[in-house]
Order: sequence, then C-alpha cells, then structure tokens
Amino acid sequence: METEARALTRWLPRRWRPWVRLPPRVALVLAVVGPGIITANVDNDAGGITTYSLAGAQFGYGLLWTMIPITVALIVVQEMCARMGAMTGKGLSDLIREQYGVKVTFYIMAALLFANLANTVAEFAGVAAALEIWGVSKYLSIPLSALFVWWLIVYGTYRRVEKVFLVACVFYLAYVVSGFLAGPSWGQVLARMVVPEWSWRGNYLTMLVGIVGTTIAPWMQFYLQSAVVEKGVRPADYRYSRYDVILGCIFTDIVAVFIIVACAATLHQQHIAIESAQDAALALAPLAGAYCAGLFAFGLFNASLFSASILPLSTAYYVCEGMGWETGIDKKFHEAPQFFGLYTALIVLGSVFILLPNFPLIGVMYVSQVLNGVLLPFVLIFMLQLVNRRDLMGEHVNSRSFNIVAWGTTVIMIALTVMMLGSLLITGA
Amino acid sequence: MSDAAVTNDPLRSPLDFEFAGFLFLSTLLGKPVLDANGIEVGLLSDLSVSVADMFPPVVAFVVQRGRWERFALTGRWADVEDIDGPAIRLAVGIAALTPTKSLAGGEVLVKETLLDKQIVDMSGAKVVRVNDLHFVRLAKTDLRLAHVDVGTRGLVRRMGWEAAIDRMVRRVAPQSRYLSADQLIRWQYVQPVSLDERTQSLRLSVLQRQLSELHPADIAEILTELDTHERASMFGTLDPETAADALAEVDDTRIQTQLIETMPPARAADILEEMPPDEAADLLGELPQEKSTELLREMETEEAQDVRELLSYPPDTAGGMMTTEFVALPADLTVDETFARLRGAAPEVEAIYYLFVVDADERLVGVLTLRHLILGQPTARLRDIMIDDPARVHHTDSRDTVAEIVEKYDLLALPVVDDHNVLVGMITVDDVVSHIAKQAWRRKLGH
Repeated sequence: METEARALTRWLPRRWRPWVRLPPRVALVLAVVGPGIITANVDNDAGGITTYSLAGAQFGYGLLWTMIPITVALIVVQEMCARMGAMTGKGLSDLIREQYGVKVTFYIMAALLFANLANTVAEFAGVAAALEIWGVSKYLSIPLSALFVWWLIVYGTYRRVEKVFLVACVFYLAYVVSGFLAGPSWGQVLARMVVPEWSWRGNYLTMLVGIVGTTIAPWMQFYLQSAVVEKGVRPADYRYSRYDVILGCIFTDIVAVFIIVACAATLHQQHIAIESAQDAALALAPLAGAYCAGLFAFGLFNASLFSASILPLSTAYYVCEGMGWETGIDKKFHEAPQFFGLYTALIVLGSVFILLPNFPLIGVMYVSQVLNGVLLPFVLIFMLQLVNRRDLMGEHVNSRSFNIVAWGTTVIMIALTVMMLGSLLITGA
Repeated sequence: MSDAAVTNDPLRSPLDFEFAGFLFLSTLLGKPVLDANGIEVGLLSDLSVSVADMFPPVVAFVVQRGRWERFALTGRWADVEDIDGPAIRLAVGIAALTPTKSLAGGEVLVKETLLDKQIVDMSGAKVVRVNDLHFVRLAKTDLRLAHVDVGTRGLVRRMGWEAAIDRMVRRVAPQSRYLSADQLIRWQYVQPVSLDERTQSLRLSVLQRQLSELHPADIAEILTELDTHERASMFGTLDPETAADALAEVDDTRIQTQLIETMPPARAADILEEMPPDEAADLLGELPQEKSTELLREMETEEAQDVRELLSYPPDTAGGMMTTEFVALPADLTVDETFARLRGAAPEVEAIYYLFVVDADERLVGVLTLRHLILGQPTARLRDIMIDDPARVHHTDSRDTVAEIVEKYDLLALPVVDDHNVLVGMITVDDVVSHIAKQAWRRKLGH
C-alpha cells in the first residue's frame, strides 16, 4: 500500500522523492481510498434518488431522522465486507463458493444476475430520463451511453476506471448545491434529523421501508469486497480502508439528506405530487430556479451513468468468479467467453429494453426489488457466518459487541425487507 | 451414474477389468454409510488421499453424523467393502471409526482442500476452480486420485443436472464438445494453493521441477491471477532465480512490490540480485525508502552498487531506463581475443549482441554486433570492424527520444553516455518496446 502512496510523488525524480513526502498516515489513507466511497455512492443510483425525492416530496422532513441509523447500518455491513476482502484476499462470491459449494452459489448468482439486469435497465432509464429534461431523445442518449460504458471498461484499466468513478463521486455534490439553492430552513432540518418521529400511516411505513431497502443492496457487498481485493489492501493496511468505508457511507447519506431537503423545501411545501426523479427536476425549476433544477437533473444523469458503468462489469466479475470461469477485461473473448458474454449481454439488454416501445419498466423494477429483497437475508447471513470464521479471518473475526450490533442490524434489515416484500407483493399483485 | 464418465484415457488400468474405470467424487459424497450390521453411521462427507504417491490412493473417509448436532467420524478406507450400491457398506462396526476428523501425516482431505477451491493448472499455466475430482478405480475399492475436473460438465454434475442436460445436448447437438471433451487436468499438473506447509513440501519436489520448466511469463501470469495470500505462498516456493525471472515478467508494479515486501529481507535481496540491475532498480524505486535501503544493505555489495547508481537517475529518462550490465571492450583487441573475453564475462550480462568499444577513459568510440565479430577475420582489430560514431543518448534524454532513436535506426541496444561521452549504460530494445507500443496505440486512437 505504501507503494500506491508513493505513486502520488511519482512525477518527481527519484532522488527527490524521499524529501517530498506526504505525512505517511495521510498517504496511506489516500492510497486505499476508493472501494468504500465508490460502493457507497453507487448506492445513490437512479432508484435511490427517486426514492429520496419521493420521500422529500411526500413527507417533507418527516423521514430525515432515518438517515443517521441507516448510515450506521450501512457502515456496519460494509465494514465487514471490506474486512473480509482485506483479510482473505478473496471476493465474497469466491468465499461463498469455497465454503458453501456449487448449488448455493449457483442460485445466489442466478438471482443476482437477474436482479442486476433489472437494475441496469433502471440505470439506463435514469440516464434517458435525465437527458430528456434537456430534450435529448432516448434513441440518441441510450446507445451513446451504452457505448461509453463499454468503451470505458474495454479501454481502461481498473485503476484508471476507478479514478473516473471517484470523479463521478465528486459530481454528487450537485445535490448538495441544489439543496442549498432550494432554501430550506436549516434549523428545522437539523432538528428533524435527530428527533425521530413515527406514524402508523400505511404510506409512511412503505416509504420508510423503501428508504431502508434502497440503502443496502446485495450486489454492493459483492462489489465492495472484490474492489478491496482488487485494490490489494492487505491486513496491515486494513485500518485505513476502514476510513474509506466510513467516509463513503457518511458522504452518501449526506447527499441523500440534501436530496430529501431539496424536495421537501420546495415540492412538499407547495404540495406538488411527483412520481419520479425526472418529475422532481422538472417541478423544481419554477420553485427553486433553473440552476437548482439543472443541478438536480445533472446529478441524476451522473448517478445513473455511474451505476450503469459499474453494475454490468461487477456482475460479470463475481458471477464468473463464483462459477470458476475465467475473468478479466485484458483477456481475449475466446479465453473468457462467459465473462465477456455476460458483460456484453447486460449492457446490450439493459439499453435495448429501454428503447423497446411498451417495455414494462415498472414491472422489471418491481421484480428486481423483490429479488434483491429475497437475496439480502441470505447474503447478510452468509457474510456474518464467514466473517466469524477463525480459519478465514484469524483474529479479525467480529468481536462480541460488534457481533451484537451486526446481528441486530441484520435482523432489523431482514425484518424491514420482509415488510417491503410484503407490501410490494400486496400492492403489486 | 459414473458410466458417462468412463473415457478412453491412457490411464485406464488393466489390473481388474471388472471394476476398472473412473469415478467422480460428486457421485460418492452424500451417500449414506452403513456399518457391518447394516446400521447407518451417517453421510459420507469427505475422502482423504495420501499425496506422497504419484496417483494418490484414497486412504480414509469422513462421515458426518447427526442431523442437528453434527460431528465427524473418520474411518480407514481399507475397511470399506462396497461403494457401488445406493449406500457405502463397511466391513467393520461403528466402533472402529475414530470420533473426530483425524488425518495421518501426508494425507489431504480432498473435499475440504480441493473441491470448489482454486488450483494452478501447470499444463495450461493458469488458475482454475475445481468442480469435481476424478478417481481411477483399480479394484473394487481401490481408488486413486487421477484428475481434477474444471469443466462445465463438472459444474452441471454438481448441480445434479448431468443426466437431464446430457439428454438435452445429445438431442440438440450430438456432436457438441460438451459431451466429448471433459476438461480434466491430471493430478501431476495440479498445484493446490491452499495446502498447509508440511503437506505442500511433500509435493514440492515434483512441483519445483514443473514450475521451473514453465516460462517465466507464464509463472508471472499465474501469480497475477492468484489471491494475495496464495500468491505470496506460491512465490515463496520458487528458487531465487526462477522467482527473479518471474518477478521481472509481472506487469503490475503493485503486485511486484507487494511480493518483494512480503518476503523475508534476506530472500528478497537474493531475488533482487538475480534480476538485471535496471529491473531491480525500477522495483526498488517503487518501495518505501526504509524498505529499499534495508534491501540494498542486504544485497551483495557489487550488485547493490549498480542498483544504487541506477536509482539516482529519474525514471523517465534514458538513465532511468538503462542497465549497467553491458560489454565494453578496448579498440585494439582482436576478434579472437574478444571471443575469449566474451566467454569469460558474458554469462553475467543480459544482452551480448551489441558490444561497445571504449577508449582508455571509457569514452564511447564505436559499437559492433556479434555479426561483425563472426564475419570478421580472427586477427582483425575491433577499431577496424566497428561502426564509428554510433547513435547514442545522453542519460538525461527523455523516453521519447530513446524510443525515436531505437525505432529510427532499428537498434537492439542503445548506448547511454554522460557529459564527457563516457559510457554509463545500455538500453535494450525490450525496455523500449512497451513504450513504442503505447505510442503506436495512442496514434491509432487519434490522440
């Protein structure tokens, strides 16, 4: 890891490098930063932004208090994944395959594959929606963005792509700015963030569950762990990776808070009902100004394209790793046919579905949410079992107190997910 | 079930034609195990083989007992009477089994250490995941581990879909390679990456030989594909020379430095000494200051001196690219004397196709190639057959300049000089190729 820290001074002649050094701690943190921040940010994808916009528009500041407990839950779960990646040097799908065998792996991977295909469709839909605000036809924007995603991966190395992703994370600040432009009363925002409130109204509960459900998706755990492994984080550097995870989760949820605030301060005040993030951006213009609306739409575009870049690739990676198929973008097609097949199929299907007239987008999103919900308990329980295995983790298994928190989080997550599934199945049927 | 697995492998044994054939691990695992009285002991959960053998025989088995509170029993494979029925029958009572998972030295549990794990396929030089294990059957219960199955069909078999999928494929595409070509790797070419040290050392003598027979670039590829821990453990089994060659072939600087950093310093220094000084300097330049100082201290004085000198040049200049291992000869040497001198000195030197001619103050005066030498009269002096005033670069020249000159004059090696025209190093074409390739690629993309 020190190696990567040294890359920061690579532009200097060798003999000067020892003299121009960042404080070692800072350099080490910078060297491992990436996986945690990126994973957490992808969480705010098209679906996430829609959920937060709806929450803000419908309930104003009423759900802000959930963001702090959600951040804690996110940190607890992600930290375990990052730790497993650093300690075992293996991805989550590798570990599941090695410890639980082919059958379990196959079914998990099959479900994940389908859920992620649906997610990819949703991300491309987000791209199309955001660009339609500026009058770009989806028949232009979708093929171009699919091509961009494909090009980015095929012509980039993972490390270069990661830098592009980190830049994309910075663009999430658009939401922070649009939150300010919406002119909320900050005293009220701060108060509502720390004071929980509760309502037994059906749609309030549904939204609450929706917010939690969009926060921890099964595929994120796979992505994060693989990214930590790919980054080459070693046990000795792990404590710095932990900062990456915590920082990422906090940043992500701050962005979420600003999305909720932007919509609450404007749409909720004026009692404007919306159905999508696109509606939100359009409705913001007359209320908070063109800049605010523009930034909101730009944020949606950035988030959707960002997630559309990560989802197909990471899915192809961990499905192939779990099934023991050759992976790697530097391979030739015939060397890794399953990998390239899956990757290409996800991008092509994901973008083609959007362009089909009468494509049941809502139906696909619905199925993907159900699948995510069904998978999550399995993934979380496998993770908790694996992270407590001494033969894999050595002394880095969960401590007793951490286990109480982790199991508590898992049980609550599962309970909420089951509630979400229930409500989805009732309303969707 | 195993009939589909019988192939025309040359390993087929003539010993016992009634039982000779093949058997997959997946067809045995999970079968109930009955003791001599027909009472069910539990379900078969693992087999152990003795790896000291060329074809490791199955020597013991593990039974999982109890539905809720599971525990393991270990029995000797010699006590097994029949494996063909729906259940495995033992010739002894349950009391003959050891009530733990116990292994003798040199034994390996195949499911625990191999199934679903990654292995290195030495014949294909890549890392693969094991889907099934393939045993050759020499007699009724005499099983020897012969192959690991890494193919799709193994995967399908483990899912329990083999019969159905086979039927379907036979109907749709009877000529399919799926049916004929099982992807089996012979056990001799399998390097398990998760064995403990003691067992690993039992297999090592065979593997060492195979490993050093692989091309260093292949070893580098394998190292790149492995997980962090497995990578370090496999790198640790290589002798310093092979390790140095492989390390130089690893493209990823991060992996290179990680491997060196995790080695004990003495061994890391040995490996660095084996590398060409320019590669060693590149690698050390990427390490933290304290670590590279420590390693330089561990290295032999002479090699360390070369590397230290190279480290003082910025990496993007001719000085940073060059090696200090080259052949420099005085101009009045004859061709015969030169050959004699080369035989003495050359084994140490990376590239001897280009020879440099220097004056008494080590200033560059000419170059010649092996071709000049071979075609020259044995008594001819070098100054008469050499190329005067050859292309050269200053050690501060940029990579681009170096690439340009190498490309323009089609050189295999380029001399590097200092302010006083003193020869300080040589850049070989392989150090330039990657740079040229990158430029060509950029041009192609129109940047």
